[in-house]
Amino acid sequence: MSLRTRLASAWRRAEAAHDQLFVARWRQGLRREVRRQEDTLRALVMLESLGVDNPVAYETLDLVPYLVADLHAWHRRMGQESFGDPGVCC
Amino acid sequence: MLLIRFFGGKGGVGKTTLAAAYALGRAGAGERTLVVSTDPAHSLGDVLATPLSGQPREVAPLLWAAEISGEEQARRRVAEITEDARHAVPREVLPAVERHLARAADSPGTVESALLDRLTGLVEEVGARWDRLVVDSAPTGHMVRLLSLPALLTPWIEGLARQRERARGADRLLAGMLGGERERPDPLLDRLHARRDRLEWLRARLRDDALVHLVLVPEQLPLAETLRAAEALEGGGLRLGRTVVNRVVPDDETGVLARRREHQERVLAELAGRFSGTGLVRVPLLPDALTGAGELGELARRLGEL
Amino acid sequence: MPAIVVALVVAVLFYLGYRYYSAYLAKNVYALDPAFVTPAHSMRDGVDFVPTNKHVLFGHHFTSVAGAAPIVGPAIAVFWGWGPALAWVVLGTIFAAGVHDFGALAVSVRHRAKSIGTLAREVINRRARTLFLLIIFFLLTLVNAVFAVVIGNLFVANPEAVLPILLEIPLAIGIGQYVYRTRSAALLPSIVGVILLYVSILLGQLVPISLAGIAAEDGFFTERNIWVILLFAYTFVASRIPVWVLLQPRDYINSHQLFIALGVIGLGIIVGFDRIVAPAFNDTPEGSPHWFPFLFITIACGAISGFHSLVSSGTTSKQLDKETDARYVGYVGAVGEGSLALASILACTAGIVATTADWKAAYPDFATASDGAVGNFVNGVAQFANNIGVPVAIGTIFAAIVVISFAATTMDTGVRLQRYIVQEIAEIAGARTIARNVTLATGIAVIVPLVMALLPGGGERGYTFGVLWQLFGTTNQLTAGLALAVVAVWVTKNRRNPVAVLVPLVFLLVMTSWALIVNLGNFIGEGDWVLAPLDAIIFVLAVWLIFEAAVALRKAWLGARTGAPAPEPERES
Repeated sequence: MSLRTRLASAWRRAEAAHDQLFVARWRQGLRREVRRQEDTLRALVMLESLGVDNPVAYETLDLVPYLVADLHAWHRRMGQESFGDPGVCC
Repeated sequence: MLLIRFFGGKGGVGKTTLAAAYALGRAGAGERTLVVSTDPAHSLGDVLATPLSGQPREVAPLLWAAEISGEEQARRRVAEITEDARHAVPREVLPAVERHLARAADSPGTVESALLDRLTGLVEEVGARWDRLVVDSAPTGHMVRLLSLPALLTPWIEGLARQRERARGADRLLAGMLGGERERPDPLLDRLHARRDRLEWLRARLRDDALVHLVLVPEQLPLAETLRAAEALEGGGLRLGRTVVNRVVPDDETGVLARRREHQERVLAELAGRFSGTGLVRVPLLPDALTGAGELGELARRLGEL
Repeated sequence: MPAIVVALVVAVLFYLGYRYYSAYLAKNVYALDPAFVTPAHSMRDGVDFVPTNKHVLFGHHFTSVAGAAPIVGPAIAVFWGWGPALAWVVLGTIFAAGVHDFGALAVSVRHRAKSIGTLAREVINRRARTLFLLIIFFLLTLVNAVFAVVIGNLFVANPEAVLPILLEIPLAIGIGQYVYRTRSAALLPSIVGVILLYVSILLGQLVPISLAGIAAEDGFFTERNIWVILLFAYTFVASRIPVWVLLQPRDYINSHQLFIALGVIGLGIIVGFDRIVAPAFNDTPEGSPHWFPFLFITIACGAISGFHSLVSSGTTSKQLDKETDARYVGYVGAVGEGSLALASILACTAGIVATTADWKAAYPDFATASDGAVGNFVNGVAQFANNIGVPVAIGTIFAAIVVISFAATTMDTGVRLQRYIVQEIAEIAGARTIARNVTLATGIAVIVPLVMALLPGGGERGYTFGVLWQLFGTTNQLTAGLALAVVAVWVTKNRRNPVAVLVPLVFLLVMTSWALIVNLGNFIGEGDWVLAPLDAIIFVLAVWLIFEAAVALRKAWLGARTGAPAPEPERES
């Protein structure tokens, strides 16, 4: 192995280690924030599913399929075949 | 151009008859006129002596009429969305989507919003398909609420859009870090913005092109309610047209009606003071209820352009 | 004595503590089971619950718990000589912090990774949750107050540090945007970013920023007070910005600074062979508090810190791959914090000055010692950095930037957290207006610590930062006490010997209450009507905590002794 390729592979290892140690924590914080924001929106749009009156239920009707689909895609990504109480998702 | 006219007032004061007569008059003057009723207890068809549905139907030369309903509009929209969802989302979530949609459609407030949505669709056609739109509204409280809905809903939708943008901001950063796709268009945000734009457009259109004609009979109770409605509507940024006073007892009556007339004079004086800017139209007490295009003709002439 | 010798001895003690004591805890007290399915697996969601390699998880845990607090406390406490400070740091880390951090992790992992506040309700009772919220409220209030003062002092002493700190904000946003836009690995941009941060030190030297021109010599609007007001104005605004824009990238930069600073200090100590010039025991001058019991509330973080239980239970426990990893992550996390405290002790006793006489001039009495503590640490680190060739002027700003960055990020996070705590307390108290209004809650989260930072010190004596600092230490110890009480009750309920948990618990509660009572007398005597009520409230919380802990422990002990089945944890109705 030439010095160059050795250096390159060492650099890649350093990148991977740095990613695990420093960036992963940042990424996790970001993921948590994304989920929090999306959950908030989902809750606001599907208020009536939570038993709360939703003054704009009609105006946001066309968001429902996307939000349910998002929820579905998310729990599938997490490796769960079904999710939530009957009626929440599948 | 004040091409959109709402007729509103307490139940039983003759809104529908006046709206129909006015529309007939406008059609007679050569304008393509649409008259719609939004009162859940429709009586426009009875006044025009012809059955009506949610779709406009020509009932006289240049005059179309329809009785629109929020329930019907909500059902139609849910059906459309379900149909769209069939192509856009995975098959296995469709039952969940349908359950959520059904719950949302049952939500209180949905019927009103849906009615407003249907009305917006008709307002959009004014200038293209219709020269004039005449709306026979539900009783005062409903009408005031319907007309103030855009102002109520817009900030809420605005808030939802902001929430979505916040989520998108973090999501984009995350996608960037993970090397995901960049700048996917967001159907949710597009739809939220479209809804908001539509409501805002309606609000501006109503402000610029619509007049609300309050209808009342010259008695104490309707007077109080009319004054309140006038205040609420003007507070909501709507303009008042001439107020129509129905069933005014003519000068030459005697007996009970003459005494009635004295009482009416006091109410009329108060009305003249309050609505000095917009003006009053008096419609005399008639012996019979008017129905059909023929009988409405005289009334139409009296109303004129309003 | 050379600093390196002390460092090595402490390292050996820490190792022994980990090797033997934590093994005892793991086996006999917390009964870790390698086969137990952790929440990271059973509740895996890809966001919070992610099984993580134990070394990586340790890195995340340590980065989350390390901050400016383990630096400031020891920098003040060496006033009593390096002996007591060092002894408390070493013994505290091995027998208190290790037990506490490890225990919080262990109890949380066995309760679906719930946070210590929720566990207080489930393991002790519903009142304990309210108590927890109140303690956290005062903890956050005081942490924001003391860090505002720390930053204010550092800005006044080091006008050259102001510009680099201001430049750190766009730099943090820039790194975030760069990583997002290029989608490349973050190592290279991070190295460039950190280098840019240190290059900005040179700019800072060219353009020092001082408020001396507009501030009054004395009275209310001193330079420091204006900085404190500006800082709180900043946190008010910053807490309304989404976290991913500024807070998260800043935290990311800080995590690098932490390891760089530890490297510089360690290398400097090894290379420089500086001697400790401070006395092992320094006689307490007239008018200064005695080391006993005040040492134990002056050094909180670094010897034992309740804040760690929040990180252990809220975040780290959700990522434990195996239950047995809790020993390594929790206990070594405490050791890492102890090492930061050790670094601070060495910087303030070996780094800052060359002779004992000079040291005594820097630490003449408690008031001067506490006001100058962080400055002393900064100067000490500058000396260590100088040992490896960094000019003292640059090393000073470097150290100041590290401390300020940590403190500022803690303030930012603190105000955000406090907002929720304020809303939650308002909800319990039935104050709907506050519970519903974010701006109002944020306002309270900012104004209360601002008042704490600006107003104490009635009477003739004037303002002593150390006193405010000790109150912060007290709330931190009470948080630790509550966490230890939760751990002790859990251990007892499961019929294991709780003595290892009870010893630090009792010690903490006794020392804290004692110091609170002595301080209360002093505040009333001096007519300090800001700190006296605050002290009294915290004392009430301490008594409340002692009561709840005693009742819950007795119940758990009786339940375990009578052989009745362990009672079900109280559930939310």
